[in-house]
Amino acid sequence: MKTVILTFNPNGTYHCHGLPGAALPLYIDGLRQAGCHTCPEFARCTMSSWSKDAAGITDLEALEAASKELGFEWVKAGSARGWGGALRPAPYVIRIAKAKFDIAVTPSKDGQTYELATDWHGNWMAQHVGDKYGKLLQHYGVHKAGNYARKMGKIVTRTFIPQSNTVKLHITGY
Amino acid sequence: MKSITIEFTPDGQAKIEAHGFEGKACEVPIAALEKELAMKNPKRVKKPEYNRHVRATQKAGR
Repeated sequence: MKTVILTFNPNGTYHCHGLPGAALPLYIDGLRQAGCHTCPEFARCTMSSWSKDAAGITDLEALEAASKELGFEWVKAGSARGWGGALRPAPYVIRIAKAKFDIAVTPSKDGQTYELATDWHGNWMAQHVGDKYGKLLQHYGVHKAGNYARKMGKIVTRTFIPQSNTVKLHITGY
Repeated sequence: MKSITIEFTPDGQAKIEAHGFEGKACEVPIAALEKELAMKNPKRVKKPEYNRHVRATQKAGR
């Protein structure tokens, strides 16, 4: 397990070894994480419950439609909320008003796909977007495949099966 | 009638099924959808229709 070294100062701040130049404020309810997204150790940090996933997102339009369909807000150039008031700036944020946290959507290094990052602390997010974003990816897939098929001149009909919470797309016109 | 159904489960998985296609005709549209959905190493199950040869028909009366 990777060790995180914290140095506490008498003035109520602390230093994390990943961000040696930053004096972070210490709160009674826990360590407030700020600027962690800039830390080179962030992905492996045991103090953080944020996690970045590849998820294979290539279509922002479909992701936006999926988010709105699930009742979430699509924010351009915002900050995603995390545990302890941590904020993670991102070009796109999926704001989940009913949850404590949000999802940051950022382009991956290859520039071809987008990564999703959220704070899984307390299982709040899984209730809203599903484990490993399953529910969000389900709706993303529906929009992505549906848009593609319509673009190809096909006829698309959509059915929801409540027993299994499954969405079926029926594509005709081949 | 040729059609394709895609089933999206709440865990984010997708299952694509072709209907009414004969032989390998389903391969191109299925592969295109798999690519669109960024499906990595999808498991393919071939239906009996896949091995059925499509007979070429030609009208007489040259």
